Amino acid sequence: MAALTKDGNPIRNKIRDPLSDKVFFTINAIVLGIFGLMVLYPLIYVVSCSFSSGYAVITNKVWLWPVEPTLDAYGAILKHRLLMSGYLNAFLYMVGGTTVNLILIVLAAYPLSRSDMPGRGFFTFVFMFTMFFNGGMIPDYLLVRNLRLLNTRWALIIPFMLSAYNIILVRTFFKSTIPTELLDAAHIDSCSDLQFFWRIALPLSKPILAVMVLFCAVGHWNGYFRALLYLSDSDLYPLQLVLRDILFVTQMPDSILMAMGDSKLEELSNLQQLLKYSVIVVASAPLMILYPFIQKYFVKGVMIGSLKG
Amino acid sequence: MKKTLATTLVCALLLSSLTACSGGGGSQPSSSAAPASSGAPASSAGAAPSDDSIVTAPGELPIVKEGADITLTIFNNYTDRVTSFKREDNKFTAFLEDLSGVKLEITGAPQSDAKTKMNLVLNSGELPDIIMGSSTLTNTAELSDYGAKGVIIPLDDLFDKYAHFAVPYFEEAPVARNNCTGADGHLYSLPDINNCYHCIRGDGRGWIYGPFLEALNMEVPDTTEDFKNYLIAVRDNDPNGNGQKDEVPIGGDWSKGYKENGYKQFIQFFGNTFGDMDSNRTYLDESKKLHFTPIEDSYKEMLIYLADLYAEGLIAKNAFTATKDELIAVGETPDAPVLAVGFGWGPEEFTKKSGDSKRWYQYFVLPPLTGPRGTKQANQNINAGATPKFAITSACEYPEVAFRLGDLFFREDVSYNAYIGMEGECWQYINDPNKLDFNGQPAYFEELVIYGSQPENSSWDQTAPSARNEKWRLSQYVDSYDEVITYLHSYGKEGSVDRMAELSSYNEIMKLDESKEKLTPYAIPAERCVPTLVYGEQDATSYSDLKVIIDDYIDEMTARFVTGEIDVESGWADYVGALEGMGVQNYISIMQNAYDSMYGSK
Repeated sequence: MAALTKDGNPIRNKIRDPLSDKVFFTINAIVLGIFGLMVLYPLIYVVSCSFSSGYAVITNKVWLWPVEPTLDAYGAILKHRLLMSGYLNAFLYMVGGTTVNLILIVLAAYPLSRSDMPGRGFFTFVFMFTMFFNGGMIPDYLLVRNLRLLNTRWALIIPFMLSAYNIILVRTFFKSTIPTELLDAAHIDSCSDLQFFWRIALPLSKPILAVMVLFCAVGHWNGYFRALLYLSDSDLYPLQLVLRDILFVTQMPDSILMAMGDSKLEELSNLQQLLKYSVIVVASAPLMILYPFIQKYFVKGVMIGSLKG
Repeated sequence: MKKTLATTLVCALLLSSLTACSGGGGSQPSSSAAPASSGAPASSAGAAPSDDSIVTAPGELPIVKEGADITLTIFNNYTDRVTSFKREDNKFTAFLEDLSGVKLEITGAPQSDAKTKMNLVLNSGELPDIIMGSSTLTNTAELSDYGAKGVIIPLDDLFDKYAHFAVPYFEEAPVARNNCTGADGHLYSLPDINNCYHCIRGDGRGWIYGPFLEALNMEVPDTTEDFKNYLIAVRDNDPNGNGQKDEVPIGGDWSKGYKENGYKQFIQFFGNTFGDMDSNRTYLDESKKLHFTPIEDSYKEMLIYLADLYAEGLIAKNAFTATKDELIAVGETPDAPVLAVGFGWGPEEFTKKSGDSKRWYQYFVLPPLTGPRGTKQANQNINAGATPKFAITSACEYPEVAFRLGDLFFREDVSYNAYIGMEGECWQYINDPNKLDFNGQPAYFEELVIYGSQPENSSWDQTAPSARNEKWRLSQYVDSYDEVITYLHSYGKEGSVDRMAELSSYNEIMKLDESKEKLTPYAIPAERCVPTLVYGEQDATSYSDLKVIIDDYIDEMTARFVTGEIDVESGWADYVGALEGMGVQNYISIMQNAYDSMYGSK
């Protein structure tokens, strides 16, 4: 019963933190603050550098805020004919690839997590085998060529669309998070396996789905090596490949550099230092924007309200 | 039953996605005209039965007879000015196809990883007919390697039979052939000839600060003695007039970069004052025997002279330890200039070209000094100026057609179209007596756009052979020729620095004219320089291992001799002995063998 003052208002008794707790909280805040700065500062530095002039970057004048702000590097990147198509392609590969990945991985992992699945051991072995043994770059190329996927957009979606490692991850999640009691309870209510999977198991596995989306999306977004191998038409190039070419500009063979004339060379080498930073910003910006939307699925509790007692 | 339903649905899903592939594959590169023969490499010129009736006479256009419908597949790399090789996008492709009468199918690879892609394509059994590009076969060693494996075919016979436009360029400069020759002596590629008129004289250039000459009222030093006296005057007589003895007679740096470090250029300059030393520190004598200069007496004499200069304080104390930035800081001291002599490709090695002090415009080439031999000699790099850019693979069914296509790139207009863009849009022939070229004669052509800013996909941007030899490049229009020449010949006394700074052509005219006036007359004879050498597989590894060890040791010891840490006279025997122990004789014999096998019979 709350204590009351003479005129009937409750006395607010502030619960005082003991001194040790206060100290702990302060130290905690300081340490976390330092860690936070350590993570935040490089990000700010990169963004600042990308907006500074090349000369300032080379002479190390930039330390926090942009010095001699210019949009040179961004201009160079935006002028590049393939940039927009690179972005679009990257989005396409990311969305398409992640969807395909997700569907297949979950479809493979769920049955493997059920102990009553016939041939479970066999399938697990087959998947694990592919994790350890791989034909190598040239057999992969020959395979893609023989499937007539070379130089098409499918070449970045279909090969390697199922990763054994991810299957195992998801399978473990299903095993450990979906209790068999739940399954039993569902069976009692005459729920079929398919319905159980679709209505109960899947909604409960939002965290692992979020994780998979993140892994696969980032993998597709950053992927450039497979694009290099399988694509020849520059219209199909994803962003990373285009950006890498932009960066390559001053590592060209001497014979080409010599033709350029010294003034262009100096300009280029200034620009290249700058380009490194703006390329980072351009490439990671979309994913950094995407991440907060997925983050809530990590944070939210998993089994809230599913099983009582 | 539910399970079977689910299983069937899943199978159906997978199957449908598989069928989507073959339909969904939109633009697929159709394989080369002869897919079956790709696996078996043929070592002789002309893999398939060459149908002589298809190809027209050398020099005739189109290169195939009427009615012949041939498609050649080419592997090339994109550049920042070329993002598509397709006929619809790229003007030069359309031009070349129409001119030659041959259809071209070009597979592009990103410039940065073109080699990976090329290796993949070559190893996957489906060879293109032709390999071109600026980042694909970039040096003769790789060329030789692929040639030895039979992946690309020797072009000697094809050259003798079908070459037309390329012939005068090959006759004029042996480097065109040398840089495309494999270890077995066969020609494996057609070169991109690009002689930037002063590049072959850029190795071992010295630069002297004009205003100090004026302030000290001295002439440009002629002999090594004069040079030493000049440096002493710089050191003692305070030419920058600020009352302090802060002048740096010779500055240097120890850094590696695109244009080599100042130290190497420094030694290169003096190496030729006392003896012979080409860009690889070797030379050939009259009997075509290869010598390695760092173990010869001329090198020892040079070291004695330099050590003497150092002991007198005429070489900066940090000349062998400074970084490039530190050297530039010396060149660009804010209050008063201090650097009297520097070495490098250009004054940009020790000053800032676009710096506020504009001192970059006040350094002039130091002519070679007369040494104890009594002659002046400057270095020239006979191996610069040609890069292999066109090879024919063993899978090509019509190597004669392919060769004639490559030969076509040596026609003047085709060559420049491929380089910068189409005639009329990016460059044109001119006939104006007021527009002078680099020789002071009426110019033959001019560029309408600056290279590097030409419109995208207007050319093939240096991924192809070309014929930009010295004569061609010197005949390009350049503005304000007379003004610059007057300024240069007077060591900066006539004409103003500010005016020179305005002219965009100053850089090229300066480097060219200075080299022409002061270095070309004294250049080491081409016969004494060692041409490009390519090594067979076993030799290549030993050569590169030895080179690293030997070069490092020589560099270190040179620094120690010059700084006086070790006395030259007493330390010389040990130095040579150590090199012998490292295998320098083996190193020399590897080079000699490569020379004999490549050029011996010629």
